[in-house]
Amino acid sequence: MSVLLQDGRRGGHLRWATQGIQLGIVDGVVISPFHTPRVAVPHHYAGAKVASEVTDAGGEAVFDPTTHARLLPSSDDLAHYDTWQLWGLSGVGLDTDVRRLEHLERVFIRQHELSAPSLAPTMTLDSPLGVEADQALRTAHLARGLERDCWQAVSGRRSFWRSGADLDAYTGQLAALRAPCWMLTMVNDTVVDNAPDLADTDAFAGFCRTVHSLSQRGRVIVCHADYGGLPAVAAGASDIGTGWDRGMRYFDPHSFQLTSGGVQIPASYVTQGRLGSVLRRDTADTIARLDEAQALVLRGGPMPIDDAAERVHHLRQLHGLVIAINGHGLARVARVNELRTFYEQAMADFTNLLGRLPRGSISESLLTRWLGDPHKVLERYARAENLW
Amino acid sequence: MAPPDSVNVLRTARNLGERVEQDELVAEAQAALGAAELSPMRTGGQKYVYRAQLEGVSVVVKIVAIPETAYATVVLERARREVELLSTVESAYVVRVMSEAVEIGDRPEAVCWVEEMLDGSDLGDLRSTFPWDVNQTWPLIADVAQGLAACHELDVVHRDLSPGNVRRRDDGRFALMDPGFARHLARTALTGLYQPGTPGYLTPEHIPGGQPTLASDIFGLGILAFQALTATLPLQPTGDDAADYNQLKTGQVPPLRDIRRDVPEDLAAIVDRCLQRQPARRYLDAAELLEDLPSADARSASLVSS
Repeated sequence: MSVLLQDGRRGGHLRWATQGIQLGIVDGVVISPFHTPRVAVPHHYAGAKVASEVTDAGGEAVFDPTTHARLLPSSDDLAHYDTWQLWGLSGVGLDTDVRRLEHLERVFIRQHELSAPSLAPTMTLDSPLGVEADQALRTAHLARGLERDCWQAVSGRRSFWRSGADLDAYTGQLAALRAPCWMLTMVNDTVVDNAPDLADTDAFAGFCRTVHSLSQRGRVIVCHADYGGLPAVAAGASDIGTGWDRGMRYFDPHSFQLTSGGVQIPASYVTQGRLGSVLRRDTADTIARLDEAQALVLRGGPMPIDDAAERVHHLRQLHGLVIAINGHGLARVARVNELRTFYEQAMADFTNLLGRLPRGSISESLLTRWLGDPHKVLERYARAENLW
Repeated sequence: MAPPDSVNVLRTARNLGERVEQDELVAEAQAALGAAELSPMRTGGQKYVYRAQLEGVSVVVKIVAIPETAYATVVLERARREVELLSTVESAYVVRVMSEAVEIGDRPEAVCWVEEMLDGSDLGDLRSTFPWDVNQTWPLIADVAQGLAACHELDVVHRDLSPGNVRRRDDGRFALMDPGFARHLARTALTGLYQPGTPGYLTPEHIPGGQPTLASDIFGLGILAFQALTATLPLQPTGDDAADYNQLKTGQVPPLRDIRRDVPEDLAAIVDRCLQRQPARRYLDAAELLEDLPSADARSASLVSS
């Protein structure tokens, strides 16, 4: 396993996903009730068809109830979501055992119907202390009581992942559940552009530390992560969640809101594999004009002729990197070194480009966003673990 | 302020009153349990421990006095829990309870019960013999882990592993005692509560608001093994609660071999893992620890090669 596609509303999602699986650059699909209806509607296949086509293509189909998004106060785009009927008569929420059980049972039934693994719902946490953290833990325990080997999920904002020893203590309680697979999400308050935001080094290092702990006994999937999830992969995650759009690559609360203005189709971008970055097409063209041979190396392949080709190119580049890190198994020093070497080479190449490209064609902040900040996260995590 | 001689008079009177009360409790417990020849072994807090005879067999009688305060319910519940737990756990490495918890008085004023008499000595009485050899320490880890595994199988955390709660039998086996603070995870509210424990033997989950897990007992066992091998505590209490809690919460115990180089790597690795600050990095429970323990033969081989 290495790359999973998060769910999205683009019309071609299922076709593109199965193509990616057949090309060997995608390993599966995470179905979300927000983006895939249970009952087919025009332009949207039913969840059962999505799951069966993905598995028929040789991929893994996971149904994430996405309760951590549903319980955000701002989430109101429920047209598809409500078709799944995931809540009982006691109402929406994980604040009582009755609600928790009603929800868990419905979620597990839907997952069984899709032949998807049982994945327990969770809620987005601001802190590992307090009532909500207890409710999430209680939900996880009940889920395990219903299905001993169910997958578990952890979802938190930066403040949650930044909470140091309290986070570690909470992780200890979670680890005791011995879930065979963990799905971890870094929840953003807002996503403003196409580049990852790992500026909060403490939060992302805490995220990596948690991945390290949980991956000692189980598989870890880093959801909605794309290139920003690579430090977590170095820390032990085996899979990364990505996709075509911003809302798939990053956990964006707007993806679950009616006011989001629909699908956020990106402007035309080109993934620069060796730079670990996704740059605008006009920047990619400028790099190519500067030195076509070097541009080919930096991209990791020929210039994608259109967005369809870019989708495949992006997944191929990301997949290759995750596979390279996963190739070291659980040898964490080697995993960290693999990514560290990649980042250091990429930063050198990027810096070199900054000096050679015409002024204004590329921003130095992109170097920070795509490489500098993730490198700092990797270093902070790895130094604390004596892996640097 | 009263002059010193008045203080002594008051103290003597109080002690005398307590002794009279204690004598009454003993008499009632003796009658209730059918035990005879009670002779005091030790007193700790509200618990009185006696050596006694029950139908010709040497036994231990424990009496817990219930205070006339709001704390009474907690003490009563803890005593009941200790007996309930001991009667549920079946292990050669956990002391056996031989009666139910019997309440004395209408209030009630005390709870008493009978446990098997274990020969040997408490680990607390053996501290002067530390540091131990490796071949003395492996059985400590293996046997206490066996006892803990019997508790953990029932989702019960002992929560108070300390030298006073582990006994080395005359045949060399170790047994776990006094799970008076044990907590059944499934029956526990998940909100944070103050955790009991013995200074020097607290775990990172013992801090106020901390949540005990089965891995907390693993840390406790790590402390005992570390102390047995080095004659020092891994995290020395300072007497300043805030500083000690902070040390527990954020500090990492140094690797065992930094302190004692001649400990074999496999043993050191196990103790170090038990003492990981992050519970997820420890053995999650005693069964997992037991899986990782080398066989007795492998331990002997490791001893020879070291």
